[in-house]
Amino acid sequence: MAAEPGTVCPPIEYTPTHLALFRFSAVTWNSHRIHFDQAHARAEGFPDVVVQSTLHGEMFARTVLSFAGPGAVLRRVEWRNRATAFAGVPLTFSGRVTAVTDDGDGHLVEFDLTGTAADGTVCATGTAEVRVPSR
Amino acid sequence: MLGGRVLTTVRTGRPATNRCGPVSRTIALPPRARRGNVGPVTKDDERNADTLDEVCARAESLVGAVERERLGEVTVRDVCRYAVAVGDDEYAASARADEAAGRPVVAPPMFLTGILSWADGPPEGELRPDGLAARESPCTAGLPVRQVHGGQAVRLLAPVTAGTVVHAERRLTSASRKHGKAGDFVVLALRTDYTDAAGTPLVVMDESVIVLGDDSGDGHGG
Repeated sequence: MAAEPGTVCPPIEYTPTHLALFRFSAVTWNSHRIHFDQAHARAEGFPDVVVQSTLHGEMFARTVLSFAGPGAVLRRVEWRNRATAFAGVPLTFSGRVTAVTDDGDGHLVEFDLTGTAADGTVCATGTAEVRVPSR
Repeated sequence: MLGGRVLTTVRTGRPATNRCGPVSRTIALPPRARRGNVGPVTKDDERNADTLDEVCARAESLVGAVERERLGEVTVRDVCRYAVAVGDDEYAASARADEAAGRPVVAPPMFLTGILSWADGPPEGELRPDGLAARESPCTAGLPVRQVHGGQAVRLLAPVTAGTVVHAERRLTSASRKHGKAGDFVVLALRTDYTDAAGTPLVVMDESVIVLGDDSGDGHGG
């Protein structure tokens, strides 16, 4: 990983299907109907079932870890939901290095994070910190 | 998924304080296809105000209380199912290979905090109409509200491996009444500290839950 402030992570493209959202709800024991029951989601004013907040977090974590490479350890990630994301809408998760500091036999790399829907709507923003060992 | 749940609630001695003061600031919220809170004050507005006041009152009584849970043992199946559900098939294959070789299986970093509940239940009849359990929708039992998640801040302090018995302490840290384009809402801030059975810190997670009044009159969330 060539990490210096301003470096952009290769983005992760992810389109959550209805089935994927249902399985994520099932495996996380999340029975909130807005995530798998389309009729209920519409009754709450959403056009379709809603992507789980924690799925944004998962994708942010994967974005920075994929960039950081083998041996990297996620130390911190935080995000805030800015707009609702829905099933079937392609999402792009991107990161940008904001700081790199020495940490003994490795580096601490900090990132800004953005999750964006296909129409340009920013669904979530956040930050993360990854420890990358020296090679 | 996980068994052996033990739940206790204790008081820390920290006095409850009123965190639900006047409207403090405006933040963005997910879209809301409801009648807008514009124009003259309506009965819907008044009902929402009463409902959110009740959420705040309940929250004030809970600030300072600590809920301790034994969540249970993390299994290889738990972490592999999580990984497959988020499309990380390679992780699952690698984890099963580690298991077969007798190597530790380290959970995906967002596994612990991705799980909404580790409880066996509750039974379907005890869920809110929107499908949430009472513990997942604090301070709202019986109230006509909707809920969305505001976000999380997760600090990962140690790797979580399959076989670890995880415990958690969860507390409501604050409740704030706010105002957005769609009207008033309450932000509940919660902290969960995850440890292993020896008390070793694993993960600290702060999250916000946004509670909105349901002014549609369509019976959802009541």
